[in-house]
Amino acid sequence: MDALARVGAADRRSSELVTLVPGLEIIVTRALGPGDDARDAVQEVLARALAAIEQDRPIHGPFAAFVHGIAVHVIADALRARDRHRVSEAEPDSLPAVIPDALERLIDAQEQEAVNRALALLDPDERDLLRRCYVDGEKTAAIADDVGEPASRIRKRKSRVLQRLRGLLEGGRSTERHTFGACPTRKA
Amino acid sequence: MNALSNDAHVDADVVHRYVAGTLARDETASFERHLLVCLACQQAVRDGAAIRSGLRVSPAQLASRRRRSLTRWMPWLLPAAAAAALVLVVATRDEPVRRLGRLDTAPVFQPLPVRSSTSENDRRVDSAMTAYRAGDFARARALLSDVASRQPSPAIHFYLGVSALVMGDAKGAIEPLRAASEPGQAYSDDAHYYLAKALLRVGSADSAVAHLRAVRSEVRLAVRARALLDSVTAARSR
Repeated sequence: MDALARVGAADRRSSELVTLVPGLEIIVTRALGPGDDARDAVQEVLARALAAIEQDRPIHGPFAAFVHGIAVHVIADALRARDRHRVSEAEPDSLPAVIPDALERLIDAQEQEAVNRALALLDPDERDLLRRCYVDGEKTAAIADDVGEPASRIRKRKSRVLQRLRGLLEGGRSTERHTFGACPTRKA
Repeated sequence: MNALSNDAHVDADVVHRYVAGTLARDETASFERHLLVCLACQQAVRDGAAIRSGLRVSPAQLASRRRRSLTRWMPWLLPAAAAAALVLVVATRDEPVRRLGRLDTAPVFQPLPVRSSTSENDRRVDSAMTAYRAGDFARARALLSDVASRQPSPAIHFYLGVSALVMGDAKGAIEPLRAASEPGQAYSDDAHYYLAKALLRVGSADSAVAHLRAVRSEVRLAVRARALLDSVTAARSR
C-alpha cells in the first residue's frame, strides 16, 4: 500500500472509530457500571485504537472486531484495578462478570416512565413472559420446556407481546412491526 | 421501542439474554462485535434495559407502595419533601456535567517544546517537568508559575494549567489554559480539551462545549473531544 493509500485508510478508520462510540458506551457501561470509570475506559479504548491507526499497525479482520478486542482488555484492566473481580490471566479475550442493571442508567427518565406505564397495561402473563426473558435471562427453549409448549410458540408469543408494548408506547397509532433499518451484517 | 425488531437479523434470545447478563462469554463477544456497528441492536439493548428496569419493580407494585406510604405520611411529607427536593435539585443539577471535568491522569509530558530562553529558566523548567513526571504537581505548578511570570510560553501555560487541574484547582487552571489555547500555537488543541475539562468542573458547560468543538486538527484529541462532547450533551439532557 503506498503512503497516500495508507493515509486514506487511516482517515477512514478514524472516522469509523467515531461511529463506534455509542456501542462502546453500552459495552463498557454493562461491564463497569455507569460513571467515571466507564467514561475513562471508553476514552482509553479510543486512545489505543487511534495509536494503532497512527502507528499504522496491521489490523486483521473487521475494524470493529479490533476495537472490541481493545475494549475487552481495557475492561479487564479496569476491573483488575478495582479489585472487584478476578479475571483469569489464561482468558484475556473472555469478558469478565457484567453489571446488567448498569444499562438502565443509559435510559432517559422520561422514556423509562413511558415504558413503565406501557408495561403496567400488559396482561400479567404477558409481563411474566417478558420478566422471564429480560430479568431472568432464560432461553425461550427453556421457557417452552417449562410450560410444555413448542419453542416456536413461545418465540411468537414474545414477539406479539413486544409488538403490543410497542403499540402502547406509540399511543395505539400503530401496532405494525418497526423496521428500524435492516441489519447489513447478520441474518437469522 | 425496538426490542424485537432486531430479531430479523439476530437470534431471538440474544438481546434479552445480553440485557439480563446470562449470555455465554463467546456469544457475548460475538454479539458485541456486531453491536458496535449495528444501530438497531444498540437501540434494542437500550429498550431491553428499559423493559428489565420496568419489570424488576412492577409499576403496579410501585404505585401501590406510593399510595400506602403517601396516605400515611401525607400531612408531614409534602412540605418536608418539597424542601428536600429543592435542596437536592440545587445541589445535584450540575453534578453529572461537573463530574465530566474530572482529570485523574495528567497528559504525558513531551520534553522538547518546553524550553525558555534563559539558562536559569531552563533549569527551573527542567525541575518543574521532573516534578511533573514524578506526579508532584504542586512543585511543578509553583516552578512553572514562576517561569510563566518571567518568560511565558504556550507550553509553560499548558503544563501550568494541567498541573492546577490535576490538583483539583479548576479555577486556577482556566487562565493559563486559556492562554495556551490561542489559535496557531503548538498546544492549542490540547489546551482547548483540558480547558473544557476545567470549565466543566466549575459548571461552565456552554463554554466547555465551545472549546471541545474547537479541537480539530489533532485526530486523537478530536475523537476524545467528540466523545466528551457526547457525554456532556447526554448529561445535560437528563
